[in-house]
Order: sequence, then structure tokens, then C-alpha cells
Amino acid sequence: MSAKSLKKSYLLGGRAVEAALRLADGRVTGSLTTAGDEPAVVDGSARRLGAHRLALELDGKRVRATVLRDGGRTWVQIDGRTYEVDVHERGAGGGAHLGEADFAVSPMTGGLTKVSVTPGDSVDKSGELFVVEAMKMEFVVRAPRDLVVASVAYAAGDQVEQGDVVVAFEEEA
Amino acid sequence: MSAGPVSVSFRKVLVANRGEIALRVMRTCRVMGVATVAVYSEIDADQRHVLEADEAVCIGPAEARASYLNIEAIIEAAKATEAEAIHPGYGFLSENAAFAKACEDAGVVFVGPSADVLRDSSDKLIVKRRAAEAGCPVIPGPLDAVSEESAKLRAAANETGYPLMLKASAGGGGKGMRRVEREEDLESAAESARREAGGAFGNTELYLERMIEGARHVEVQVVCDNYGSTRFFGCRDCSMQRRNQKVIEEAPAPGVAVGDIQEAAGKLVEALGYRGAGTIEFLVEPDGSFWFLELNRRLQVEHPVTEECFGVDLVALQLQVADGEGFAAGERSVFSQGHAVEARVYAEDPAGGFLPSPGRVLYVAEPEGPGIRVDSALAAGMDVSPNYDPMLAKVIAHGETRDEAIARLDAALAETVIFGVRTNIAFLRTLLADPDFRAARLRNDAIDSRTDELVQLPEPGAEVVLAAAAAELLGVGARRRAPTAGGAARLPTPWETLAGFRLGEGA
Repeated sequence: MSAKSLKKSYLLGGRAVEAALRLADGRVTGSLTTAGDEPAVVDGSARRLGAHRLALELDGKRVRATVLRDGGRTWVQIDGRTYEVDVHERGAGGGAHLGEADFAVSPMTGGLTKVSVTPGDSVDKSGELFVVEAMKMEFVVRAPRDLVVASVAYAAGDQVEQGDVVVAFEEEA
Repeated sequence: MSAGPVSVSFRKVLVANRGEIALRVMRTCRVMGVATVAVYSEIDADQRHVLEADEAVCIGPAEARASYLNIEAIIEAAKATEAEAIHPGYGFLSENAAFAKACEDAGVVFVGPSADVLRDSSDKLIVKRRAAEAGCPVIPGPLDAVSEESAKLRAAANETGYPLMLKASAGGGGKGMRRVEREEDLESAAESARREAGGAFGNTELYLERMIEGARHVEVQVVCDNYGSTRFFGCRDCSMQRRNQKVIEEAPAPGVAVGDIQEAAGKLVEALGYRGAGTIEFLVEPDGSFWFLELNRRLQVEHPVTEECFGVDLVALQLQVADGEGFAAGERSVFSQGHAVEARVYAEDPAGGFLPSPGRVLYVAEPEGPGIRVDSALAAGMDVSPNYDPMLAKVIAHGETRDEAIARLDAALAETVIFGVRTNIAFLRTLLADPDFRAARLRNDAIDSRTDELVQLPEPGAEVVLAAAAAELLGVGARRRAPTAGGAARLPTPWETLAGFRLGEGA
């Protein structure tokens, strides 16, 4: 799987945290910077355990997290505690809000037979994004609008569950 | 009662409640082969108790007064669906004598005590007097209502001794209750208690009791048949309360000698001619002395801990007794085995002063495993309405020992996930970890005396933001779009979006 990166500001319990992270082959590197603190170097791992579950390793400690991304808010549950992590809106131009229409999800659980786009691609409305197959039926997911591909989370041959984000788009211009 | 498969003559039972208790009652109905009727308010049409019932009838608007407390509409629903019995659950109309009477008049069996017993026992002071007469120890204090004359009030208070409790005869839910530390505060406390009781119950009568400090809350579970026989199901400890609201309950009550308390409880229900499931609450002091506190004339929220220890189905027993079955002469109670602990999961925010947290539930994961039981009506997409009680679920753990049950409950809560509304789950785990609780040093003021300390949680670690960011990078955890209320959100099926569909074409 190709490397992906993310640069975003989050709010957790009233404190802003800047995340600059890169994910490649399950390894997460980069930094997390809490407002007013020195950046904390991240060198850990992140793997998918299920449609809403992650296995993380950070500073030698392993945790399992359950997550739900609901617009600008991510609900995170780790070891019985639930946290609300919000995308930190920084006004016009600086926003990093991932809206409902900013990704394409798999409509069913099955195997990805084809991924038709790569990050940076411009796709016209109704252009083919990826193809899922289950029970000998194929389903083509198409672009809901004119868009630019920001990231692709899976490759052909991967298994996906219904609702998994397969392709994320750049924000609408 | 005969051995073999449990059964009743009812073919259909209406459940006059909502949420987890409605589902709990329906589960037993299914076991017994009885059809179920749900009733619901206009905003509850997509709740699980409605969807999982065999039939459902809308009984009015959201406000409980117009729906779940609407006697006429519920009786109408029972008639329309030809339900032969009504199970009231807990809360709402479960202890309402007028409702039981309306059922009797309509020829529908009310699953609970008779209307007469409910009416006679609706006054706490009268029940206390009956308990004292029957030889059940009651909290010291005059057995007459306090006078409105201040000289007489003072005299009665001095005789009782300070600190003392003023209680409303018609009281419930802590309303009309005042703790009085000294004589100077007596009259103003009585005045405000009267005002509150008058507003809540239309009855301003008050009585006095000595304040029993730092006692435990211990309660006896009984089921009485119609013919004077009582089956006893031991004691529960429910000392872990926050502002008179139970939070953690367990059975058996650690270190409590069951015999004497059960006997005292038996004297009271016998004197009242009680029928059905009931709970007799006591305060137990460190020296073992115990005092009758209150009679609960319904199935309790915390009944599962008793069921898990005794291996009984209390709802089945309720239905059988309501159906007129008697306990066979000489029939012995089954034996309690192991230990069970229950935690009540509320939609409330402990860090924000325990304010209720209504909203839409976006995601639910309930625990499972050996000894774990979850009584819940949770579903992704359901709305938690500010109109009703904020309890979302009860997580119950059973184990061979108390320690094992607590460990199982703690692990189960750690894997209980509810997104969309805030919950008290982390607070519950703090309580389970408390050294006093672990050592069974139980007091009913243990939570209220140190709430501020108990709601503290450590600062979130870096893994929390990492989890949010990694979820995005990995494409994990996206909310299903187009959520439909009452069930899992759904996406359009391929058949609904045939535009992009190909059959049998290679990729």
C-alpha cells in the first residue's frame, strides 16, 4: 500500500493538537503537538481490526481503539473511556473539515476488484472510482461530483466492509 | 408450581413500559409462548421495544403524562389487541392503584399487587406503622404524622433526636425529604418539605425519623402468591447510590445474615396481604441492626443480580402468580450461587455535573463473555429523549466470587462502546476500582461524600488523537450515511443504484 499523510489540527478536551503524520505499511511516523508544548515525536503503528476498530502501538504500548467519524467529530473509545476529538476549524482557507461528500465508501462487504484512481487524479462526475465484488455481483462506485482524489485506502484484492472509506477527495474548490 | 416448562394461560400480554425493561419482559413472554403488545409514545415509534414486539399501539404524545402514564389509552390498547394481562415494568404506572383498578374493571390482569393493596400501601407512614405492628424493625421516630403546630413539632423532634429526617407520607424519589441537623432549621425544613410534597403528591403530611448515618442499603426480594405463600430470593446490596439513585447493585449482600432480614420482610408482606414480586428495603448498620425503609411494589431495576444468582426468571414468576398459580406447599427457594454485580449505564455527563446527555446514538458495541448479561434497548440510530429516564442499559456480571464478578463487570464495561451521547461508563469503572468498594466496606453515602474526587479522570494520552488521525488514514470508522432512526444506518443497495451496475463483466 502506498504511503499516506495527514496534517490536521484537532481539539480534544478544549486543547488543540496538531497532527502531522505519515502512514506506510502500518507504520505511523510524524509528530503530535499540543498547543504550548514541544512537538512529540510519533513512531508507532496503526492497523485496522475491523470497520470501526484499530490496533495502535505508541511508545511500545499497544491499545485497541473503537472509532466513529461523524463529520468533523471523531468519537474514540479506548479502554472504557470515550473521547470526542473534533477537527479544529481555523476559519476560511485553513479549515480541514472532512464533510459527508468528501469520500466514497464501499456499498457492501466484499472484495475490491479494481481501484481506478490514484491520489492526485482529477475525476469527472460519474467517473469510475473503484469496483467491489460480492456474491458474484460487481458494483461500480462513481464520483458524486467533479473531484480530485486525495487518498486511496485500499488496493485491488483487499477485502472491504460496507461503509469503509475507499477513496477520499480533496475539499471542494 | 409444577416442574417442567414454564407456562401461563395468557396468550397475549401488553407491556406498559419502554426501553430495556419492556424488552426484558417481552423476552420472558417469548420463552413462555406468550404474544407481546408494546405501547409507545409518538416519538418512540422506532424504539426497539416497539419494533421487537408482536404488536404495537401508539398511546399518545411524547410527554409521559400523555402516553406512558395515560391509563385510559393503555387500557384501550389492551382491549383493542385483546391482551389478557398488562405488565407495568418499573416506574410509570407500576405502583399506581388507579391503574391496577382500571385493569381490574376492564377485565385485564394487572401483573402486580391488587389495587386494594397498592392503595393501602401507597402511604409510607401507614406502611411503616403496619411494619412496626407486624414486628418488622422500623427506623426510630414517631409513628404519627408531625403536627403543624410548631411546639408539637419541636417536641417530637427533640424526642427523636438530631440529626433527623423529615419525610413525606406520600413521598417517593426523594421528594419531600429533608435532613435536619439542628432545632433552628426544623421549621423552615418542614415548611419547604411540605411545599414540595404538596406540589408533587397533593399531600403535605410529614413524619419524622432518626437519621441513620452511613448505613448500607440492603433489600429483600420476595415473590408472593395469591394464597399466602412467599418465596424469598435473598438480599441485594444497593449502597452505591448517587443522590438516592442506585448506580451499582449486587447480590448477595456481602456479610449480611439473610435469615433475620428475610423473616422481618416476610412479616410485612404477610401483614399487607401482598401478591406478586416485591422488594423490602432496609438500612443496615455496621453492628448488623437493620431498619425497614421502604416497600417497592414492583419488579426492581436491579432484579437481574438476583436472577443471576438464583437462576430464576422473576418475570416468569410474576406472570405465573398473576395467572393465579400458587407455590406448592413446602416448596423451597432455589439456592443462590456465586455473586452478581450490576452497573447502570446512564446517558449523563459525570464531568458536567451529571447532566443528562440526550441525543442520537451513533454506534453501539455491547460486551459479551462468560457470566456477562446486558439488559439494554440500545441501537445505533435511536434517539435518547430528554422526555424519559436517561438509563441506557444495565451491564450485569456473575462470577463464582464477588471479586470475579467485579473483574468481569469491569472488563465488560471497558469494552462497552456508546457513541453519540455521553455516558457514565468511566465513572462506573472508577467506582468498581474504589478500594472501599472492593473490600465491601459499603455505605450509602460513599458516592455523595466524594463525588468531586470520583469524577476525576487522568488527562487523555497521545493515543487518543493518534487514533482519530489513524482512523482517517486507514479509512476506518466512517459513519454509515443516511442513518435511519431505530436501526443501523444503511446505504443504498446495488439494486437501488443500478446506474453503475454490471453483471458478469470482468474487472
